[in-house]
Amino acid sequence: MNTSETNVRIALVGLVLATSASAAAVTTRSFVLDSADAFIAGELEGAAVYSDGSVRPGAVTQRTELGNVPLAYSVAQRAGHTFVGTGTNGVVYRFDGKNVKAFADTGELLVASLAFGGDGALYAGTLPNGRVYRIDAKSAKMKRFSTPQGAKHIWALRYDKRRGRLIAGTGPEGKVFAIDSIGRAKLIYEAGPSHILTVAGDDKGTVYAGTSDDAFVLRILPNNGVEIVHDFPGNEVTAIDYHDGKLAVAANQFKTAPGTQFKPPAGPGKGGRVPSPATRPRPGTGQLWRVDADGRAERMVSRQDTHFTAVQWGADGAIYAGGGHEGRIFRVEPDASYSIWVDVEERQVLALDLRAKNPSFVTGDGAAIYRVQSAKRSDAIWTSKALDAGFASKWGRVVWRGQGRFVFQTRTGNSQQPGETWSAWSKSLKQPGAIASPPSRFIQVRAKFPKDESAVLRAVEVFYLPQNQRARVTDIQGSRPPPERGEATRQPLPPTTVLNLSWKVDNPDQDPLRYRIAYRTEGQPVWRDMFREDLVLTEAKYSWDTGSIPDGYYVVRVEASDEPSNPDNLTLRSSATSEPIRVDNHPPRIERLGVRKGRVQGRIVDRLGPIARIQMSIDAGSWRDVFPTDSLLDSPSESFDVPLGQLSEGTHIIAIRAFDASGNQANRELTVKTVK
Amino acid sequence: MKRLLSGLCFVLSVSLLGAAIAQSAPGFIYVDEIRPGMKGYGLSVFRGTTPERFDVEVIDVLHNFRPNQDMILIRTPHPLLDRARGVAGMSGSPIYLEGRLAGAYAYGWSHGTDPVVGVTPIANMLAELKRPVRLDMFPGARTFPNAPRAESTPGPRSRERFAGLPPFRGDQEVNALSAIRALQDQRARRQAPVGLHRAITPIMLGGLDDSVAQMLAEELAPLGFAATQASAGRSTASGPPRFEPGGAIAVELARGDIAMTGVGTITYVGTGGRTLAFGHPMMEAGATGLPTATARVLHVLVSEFRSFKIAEAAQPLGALVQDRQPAIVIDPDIDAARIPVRVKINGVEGAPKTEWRVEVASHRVLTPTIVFGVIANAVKSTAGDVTDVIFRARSKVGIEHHGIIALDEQGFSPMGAASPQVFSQLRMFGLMEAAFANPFESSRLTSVDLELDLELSRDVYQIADASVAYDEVDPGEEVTIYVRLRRVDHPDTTRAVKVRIPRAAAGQKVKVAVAAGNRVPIEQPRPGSLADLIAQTQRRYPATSLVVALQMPTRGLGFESHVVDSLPPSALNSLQLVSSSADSRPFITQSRTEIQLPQVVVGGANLALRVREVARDKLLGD
Repeated sequence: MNTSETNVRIALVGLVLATSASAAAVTTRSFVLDSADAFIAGELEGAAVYSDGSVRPGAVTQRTELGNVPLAYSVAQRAGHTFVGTGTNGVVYRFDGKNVKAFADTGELLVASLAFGGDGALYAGTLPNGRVYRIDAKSAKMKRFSTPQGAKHIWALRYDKRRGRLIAGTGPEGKVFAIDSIGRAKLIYEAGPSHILTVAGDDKGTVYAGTSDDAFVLRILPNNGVEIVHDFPGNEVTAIDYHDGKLAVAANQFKTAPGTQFKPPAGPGKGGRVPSPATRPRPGTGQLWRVDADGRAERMVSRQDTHFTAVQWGADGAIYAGGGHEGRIFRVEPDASYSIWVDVEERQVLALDLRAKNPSFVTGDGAAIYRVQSAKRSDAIWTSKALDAGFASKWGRVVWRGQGRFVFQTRTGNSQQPGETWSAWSKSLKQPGAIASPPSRFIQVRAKFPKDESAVLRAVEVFYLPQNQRARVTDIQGSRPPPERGEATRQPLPPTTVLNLSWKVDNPDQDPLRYRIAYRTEGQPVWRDMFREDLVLTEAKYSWDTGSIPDGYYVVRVEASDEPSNPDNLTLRSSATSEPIRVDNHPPRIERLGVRKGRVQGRIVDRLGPIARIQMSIDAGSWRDVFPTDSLLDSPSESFDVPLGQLSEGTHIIAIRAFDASGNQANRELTVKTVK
Repeated sequence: MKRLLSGLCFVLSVSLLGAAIAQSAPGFIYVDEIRPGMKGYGLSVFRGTTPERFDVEVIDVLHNFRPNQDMILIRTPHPLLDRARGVAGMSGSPIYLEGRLAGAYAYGWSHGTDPVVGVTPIANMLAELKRPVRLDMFPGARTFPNAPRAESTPGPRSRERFAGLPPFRGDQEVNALSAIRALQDQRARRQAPVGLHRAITPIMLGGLDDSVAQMLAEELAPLGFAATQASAGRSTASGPPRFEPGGAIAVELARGDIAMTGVGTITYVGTGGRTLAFGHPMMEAGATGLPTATARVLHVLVSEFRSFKIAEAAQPLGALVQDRQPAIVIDPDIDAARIPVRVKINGVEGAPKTEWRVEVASHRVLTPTIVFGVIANAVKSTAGDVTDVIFRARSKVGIEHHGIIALDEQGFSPMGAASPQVFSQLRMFGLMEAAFANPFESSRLTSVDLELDLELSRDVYQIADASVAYDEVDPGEEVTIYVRLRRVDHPDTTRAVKVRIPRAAAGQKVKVAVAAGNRVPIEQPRPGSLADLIAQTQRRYPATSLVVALQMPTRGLGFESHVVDSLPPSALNSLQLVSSSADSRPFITQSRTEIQLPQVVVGGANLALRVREVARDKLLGD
């Protein structure tokens, strides 16, 4: 879990140290939840999250499940009964406030639209055959009423009182039909776009239509003249509502789905399973707009995490919009501030009927009908998401800021998903106070709202102290400084007494660390500090000058301590030792050097060995390699015996130099005189 | 008592050898009593219908050769078997040791040079007699008249008709060989014991053209059958009226104008006549209902490669009801369903025989394979010409509770009618698969009737090419696709088909496919019943149509009983349900235009059109 994703801020309080690095140490931390996103990440039960980062009581809803029905797509209400059009079996359900029952079965895939006609009958627009059914609202007697030509989908139906006709928005040819009282469908507009997804209108016979796959809102005048009210960003106007001379518009942008070819699957024996959908639906992005009577269009809300499926003006002047992701209804105030007014379990809110006598909405991907009982509820609960402290932590206080007598509870656990292994909800806290839940990595907080409609929760802060984590040192390395630029790397390294030590450290809680280093000769038990206690080493490296210690193999121990950020009783230390590191600061010796019978002879001896190279130069000529007598440079002592070669008569200077494996160099020379 | 007397009369009427068998029948010898070196005898028919005795000597017992199954290794010193070694068709021959039944001759070794075979212990075989057998497990089966059979209460609906393969839900195209190929694949994944093979079940093919026999032999071989051409049998063939140990048994897969008969040997006749044979499975199909008969052996063919019995069915008797690892079980009182198949060839002048009538065993895998063999054989015998042929196939497929389903298809083959691929694709095979393997209701195939009109001609419309005036088009524009059609001995003709470029395709490429109607798959709703599956089989474009399909930028979804296309994104999003396991399959919407032509259409062509972001008239400020 990445807390940064949810805008939960982690604040540091209490121990304030001198440096910013110290301030990042393990000390008292807190989760601060004071933004809309942080509150929305949790669960809302009758609570509403506002765009100003507050949580207030939301709507009281009564949920009634529609049995084994996957989605409720349309809703209409008359005489206390709510009628719901559903898919994927094309059944219309009737809900009387207590009981729901299948009312009429169209036999189609989906009842996408419902509207009452002037005759009191319920009209159901369906797909995939583009049929409108007339259903007697009392007897449920149903008949096929109209099949507008070229329409496969009846997305929207609206009764035009003034002319006594039904207006139908259809797809996939983007046609608007007027259907008379005996079911004759007359084409009144054919749009460029493919679908008329939504229609609305006024009492004067003007029709407004939203389109897909261009996001237009059209105005179809009583004389059938057509104007574009506004070309909205996106590729679909999914819903519009006209009320009091203003339009509310839900305009969405969907990415073009990758191609999913219709392919007959392989033959039997390949499992015979029905293939799964290639992709699970991803929400689009959505915007809510209002268009005033003077034509001014104003964007009210823009969301990247959801598209909008339904929109309606409330009687209170707010705009309500159903979301296509996480089952939410947004409530938008005239000043463009907004709240998540309702959060239901189903994936989508698909249709709103909030101005009706019994305000209702229906959902998809889990079909249910909800009735909104009152404007606000008094028993709202907001529950945070599981907050991750990163490590097992001791919990401090939970404090909140707001208005009203909230009651807080907490529960904790060590799994990201709260479950049976978590603690029970703690006793209620009526005042900010200590968290009683046991130490753990994750915590959830919930706030029960008071019976006070004006209650507001503005911020919640949870303090905790993560358990200190021990830093682990690994992979200690000792190496000589790298050669200077231009230095031939194939040559033995130049002599130096400096050894660069480095190591890795696994520091789970990122505490500032201090390192101490000690060493001992291989085989010796006593450790010696490499530097004095007043030197505070905080970097995972150290340059060790070995000039003052004898050549040999040494073991280095590095200890990491998080004492800079923890009191003594909480400080944790760990140490690791290196593999033996070679320290060789002394050159080899050249012994028994001499010339006998025209051959140069001698021996190179080093304390640690092996000898790395022997070279000879005559009269300051170029150096040439000399091979030892056994041809192998593999021991601390190597003899050589090489011919001197043809020398002119006279005195010559023979120079010998030798290197050990550490690059230490020895030189000697001798003078020879040749005579004929 | 009547039955007992009848059985007694039969025992008295057979030879002294038969009497010896009757004496030994009450006793079984089990594996833990069998020792190396034991001697005994086996019984099998080498010619005619009378079992003959052959000597056996136990080599040893292989323990746990199969899960919970040992194998007795025996040597069969016999003048014939010394040369023939393992003989296909001897499978099931009872082996007696110390006068008691030890098991059935069943296994041989690849490339073995000694007459050494493996015997399936009788205990494993007897266990198979305990499996329940109910008439309702074998759709279409009846009891023989006067069979004194007390039927058990019907059990749950039989899944045996699926033949070990997944049920058929209509989400795949099937042809005549789909089921047998699927079973072959399934079998190929099983590991056989190295070197050892069960004694192959020889299958006698009669009345078949060589190439058709070869095709069937190749298809059946992976299932454990060794096919060889023999006779189609005689309806009056004489043979024993009852099964007896050592007697030959035939599994009649087809009889009539062509015959397909699996041959093996009876091991043991149990109480009530329930009979064990083979000592190994035939196809290991489990509970199955295949017609059986007594058989007459014509000859034992000795071969370096594989020796086998040549035999033919004699008296129909009973049904193979269990096809299991240690044995097959035959119930003599059950009369297994046979499906009448008629194939009539029209339009071939001078053909000596134009109608074939065959009764075929009812089995998901075998029936379509054999029916295809009957069709291929009829066509090959009547019109084996390797030349262009146009055909019209009018098939009538009987499905229980659904009556006779009629299909009318046309097609063309440049390789002649006898090319195997041509008729394996007939849609009636989809109906047959639906009848056998639909998961919705117990059903069965009741009849197959095919009238095949052949015309040795190339008078078809060949799609030569397709073109447009320009390949960059406006969104919303109506574009004319010109399809050039070629017809032998006629000048080329061009058909103009108008398609509307969707506005939503602005800035994209759209594909246009031109194809013969019968090559165009139609998006189908997910069937929810056998009736849906049948309707789905019938819902196709005819081969005499030309279909121009424009690939749209929108998606559609398939549901049970419904298909919806051209969905706007929000509705597509809502209808792809996360909370329901009811699957909705997205597909690319296609706008199709169908043109009917008087002749069969062949070939195809594709076009890709670039759609401008903005229509030219808008760019120009119209």
